[in-house]
Amino acid sequence: MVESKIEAAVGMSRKWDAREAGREVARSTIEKLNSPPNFVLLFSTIHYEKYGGFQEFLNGVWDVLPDDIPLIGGTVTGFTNNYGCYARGATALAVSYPYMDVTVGHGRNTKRNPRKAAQQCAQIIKRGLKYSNYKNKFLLNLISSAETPNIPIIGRKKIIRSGAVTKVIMQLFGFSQYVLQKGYGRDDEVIEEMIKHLPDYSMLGGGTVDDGTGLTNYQFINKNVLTNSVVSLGIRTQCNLDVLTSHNMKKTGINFKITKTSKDGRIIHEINGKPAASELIRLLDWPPDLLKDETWFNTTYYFPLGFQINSNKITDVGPRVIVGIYGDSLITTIRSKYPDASILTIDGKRLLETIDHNLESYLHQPKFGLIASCATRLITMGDKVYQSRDRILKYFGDNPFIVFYVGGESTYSPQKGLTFITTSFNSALFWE
Amino acid sequence: MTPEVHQIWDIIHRAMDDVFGVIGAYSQTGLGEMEFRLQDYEVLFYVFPDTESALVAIVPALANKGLLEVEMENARREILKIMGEQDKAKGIAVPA
Repeated sequence: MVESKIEAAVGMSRKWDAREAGREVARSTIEKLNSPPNFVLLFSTIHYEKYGGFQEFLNGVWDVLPDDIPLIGGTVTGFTNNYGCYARGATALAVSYPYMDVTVGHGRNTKRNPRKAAQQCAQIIKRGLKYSNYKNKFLLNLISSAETPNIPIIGRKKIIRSGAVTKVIMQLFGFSQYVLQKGYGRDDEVIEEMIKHLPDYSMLGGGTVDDGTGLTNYQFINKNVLTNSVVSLGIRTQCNLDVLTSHNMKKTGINFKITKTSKDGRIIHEINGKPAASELIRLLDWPPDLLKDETWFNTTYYFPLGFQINSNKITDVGPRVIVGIYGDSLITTIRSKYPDASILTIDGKRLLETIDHNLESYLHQPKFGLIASCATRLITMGDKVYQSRDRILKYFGDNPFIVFYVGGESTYSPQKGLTFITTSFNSALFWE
Repeated sequence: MTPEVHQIWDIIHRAMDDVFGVIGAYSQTGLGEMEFRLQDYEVLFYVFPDTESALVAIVPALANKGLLEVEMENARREILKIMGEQDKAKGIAVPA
């Protein structure tokens, strides 16, 4: 038997102080390796913003990490790794492998000009790997996700039904998006542009987030903390790899037509020719007052909208969560491109089965893996997320993995194309 | 304890006492978690198996409960580990 040359390790910290946590997560990761890592991926919950700040957190990481090791990362709602499931703390994955070239890139102002940010990032990745001859290509993209604008008096409510207030919000929305960069992540546009420039890469993507409030999020690249940016890790390697998205949503049989949207397709004003929110509630046969801020997580997350993904495959449907209701309009984070839509649903059993559907499709045991899972999966499973970890461990054994919970997940490969949805489980597995 | 919780603490305390009666009666038959909502708060009980004890959290009704549950479970696992070590030191058999 040929001895494996891939060394991968996962570390973590649960310390509260940002600098100490940074040191511990770096130390506990690289101490398991026999040679310096080719790269380090770093994920943290939002808590360190208030316990020293993220620059101090990164300073702690670089107190321990040898200089010049490529690093990217960002804030996540939580994470699962070989040690457990956490909604607070930091985790990292480092890989050492002789047959691998690595580079990192970034692009700024993703909310204002996502395509330009993607072009900047893709150019850096292209330049960094120009001389690599390894045939397998992989890109991890972490993109600043949506941030709720804090509109005076209104605050950050998810549901605002007053018509007059909604008019004001809609007018302020554009200003907030382009000037303040508080609004949609536009991460779908970033990914589409990345694919244009790097079409022969397999990609895994996720939107950096906070603890579900949607107020702020951060991206990390080497020693820098960024906001409103895309950070990417580019790899060319001899190591085999593949990516796959699974969601396991069930169709309710309730179908409708999207008849009026905002220019960018993210706000649905009308479905079936009627005001969207009222028509949705009617289709679901819910009492009109059921949807409110108090019941938000227990209602909308279990009944996402199903949008047609592909122009020529009407059966290919992907879930999108509703992130707010303003007036009678539904706010979503991913653009709707086609009129045909439906209501999907899922329960705890199917959430868990998604993992098997995804991981059992790989024919090789992974040496390490990265999984971008929707934060809604963590929030709806709660402490039952430990059952999902047990399932993942069946496939990985002792080999390292991190599930990072993000907002707006995607995979792309030249063979399978792009899938960008929410409420999904997205894997990138590596084997020799 | 926040001032708001302090105000309704007496009611919650009485309700919790009643819940602990249920935990004492059913923890040996596999009761793992209980929760109730009182006014604008939710009270979560994470029961330590085969005991009359539970880890309790009082949280605002609008809190992101899923994330709190993950950390409640982590705290329960930590406490069980410590309890197991203490039992081992005392020479009490610890279930595998």
